Amino acid sequence: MSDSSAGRLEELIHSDQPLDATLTDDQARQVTEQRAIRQRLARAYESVSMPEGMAERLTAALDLADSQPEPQRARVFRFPARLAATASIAAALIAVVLLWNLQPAQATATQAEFYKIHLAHLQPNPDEAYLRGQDRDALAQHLKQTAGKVPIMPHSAELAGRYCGCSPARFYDSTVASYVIVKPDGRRVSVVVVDKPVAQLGFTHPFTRDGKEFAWCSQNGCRMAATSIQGDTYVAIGKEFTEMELLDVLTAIRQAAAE
Amino acid sequence: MADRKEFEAEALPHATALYRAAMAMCRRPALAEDLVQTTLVKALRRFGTFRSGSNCKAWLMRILHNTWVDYLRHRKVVGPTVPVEEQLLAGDDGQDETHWSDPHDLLENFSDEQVIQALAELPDEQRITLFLSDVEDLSQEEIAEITGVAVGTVKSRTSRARGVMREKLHQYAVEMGLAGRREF
Repeated sequence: MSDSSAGRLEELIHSDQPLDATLTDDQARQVTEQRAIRQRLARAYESVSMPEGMAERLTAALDLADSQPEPQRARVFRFPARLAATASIAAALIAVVLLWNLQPAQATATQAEFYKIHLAHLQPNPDEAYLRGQDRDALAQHLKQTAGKVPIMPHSAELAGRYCGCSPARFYDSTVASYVIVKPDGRRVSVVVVDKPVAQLGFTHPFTRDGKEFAWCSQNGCRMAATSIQGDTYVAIGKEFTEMELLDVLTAIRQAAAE
Repeated sequence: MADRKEFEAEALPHATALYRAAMAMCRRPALAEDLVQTTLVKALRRFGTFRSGSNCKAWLMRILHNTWVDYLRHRKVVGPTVPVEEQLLAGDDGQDETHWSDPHDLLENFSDEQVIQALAELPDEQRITLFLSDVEDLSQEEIAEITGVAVGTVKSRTSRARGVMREKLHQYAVEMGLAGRREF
């Protein structure tokens, strides 16, 4: 088929023009079928719409982009050793999650159900890192099944802070990694790894638990708790969680990191 | 920073189209959301380079496509690829010898999910090309710019995708008892 003939057929497929006598029977059949497929496909996609809450999420993301200078890509490489460390903790977390899933009898029902971890975001720059492999795929599948209405955000640190009423600047300059943990009921808690001590976060309630440094925050409607693990500070943020639930998350991460 | 109000007026009306395109690309709602968000943030930051009066949807689609390709590269899932032209030379074009007596009536038997699934089963580049062509109604020139290939490649991908799409739908029709193996 010549280019001009193919172009003419393509033009006809995209139009509602009547078919003329210059077309062969085979060409006319092709055009009729492909027109029908095109129209049906377009109509099928009309049923696909943005999930509830996504418009608000986009507005928040644009607000953030508007209020911050464009991130320097170079800063992504500032913490290679730290990222390696957090990645090893992430791997430990995955192992624990999978173990719990495989051996629910060895964990309480709450633990077994709770820590479904979506490790899509290891760095604040979403272009730079995504975990690979079967573990992540399995967890992503779980995430798909349990997707809730709390936005999941590539720039979790800043936006999670914003969603719980905090200034995004609180974590923006010091975030080295972030995770999102999804509970089967759809609630999500962001876990942000920041490069500053717990004491410097400005949380309202610092305390110790089992000899370890913790803090939680309640100002501005925050739902945040933090602890130090292997030299990093882990902050759990989830507006639908109580402070105690957030502390439980951090305790579980600490246990996972120790194994 | 670009004028936020102007950006919102130009770009945000295309957010749903971006989400649909992202779904066609990655087929995972959570990832599609991330891709759209990243696309719009990038677009806001680059809005100064957008030529007023040009096709904003095509411009956004190009950023989305680049974001998706970057994502694939980072996941290292882009394995060795075979140019579509080679596939065309190597195999049939997906057209069988059957014909549909009434395509519109036949396609009404499929659910939206089935039609979307048929598209989802196409190879990445064919799927994206056909989506941009048939769902978003973009020109072959615009699709070439979005996907970073020659217009001729878009034409061959479109042609190939149409054939495969028809074949997929035909298989569904056979499975549903709406068509015979050879003709309906």
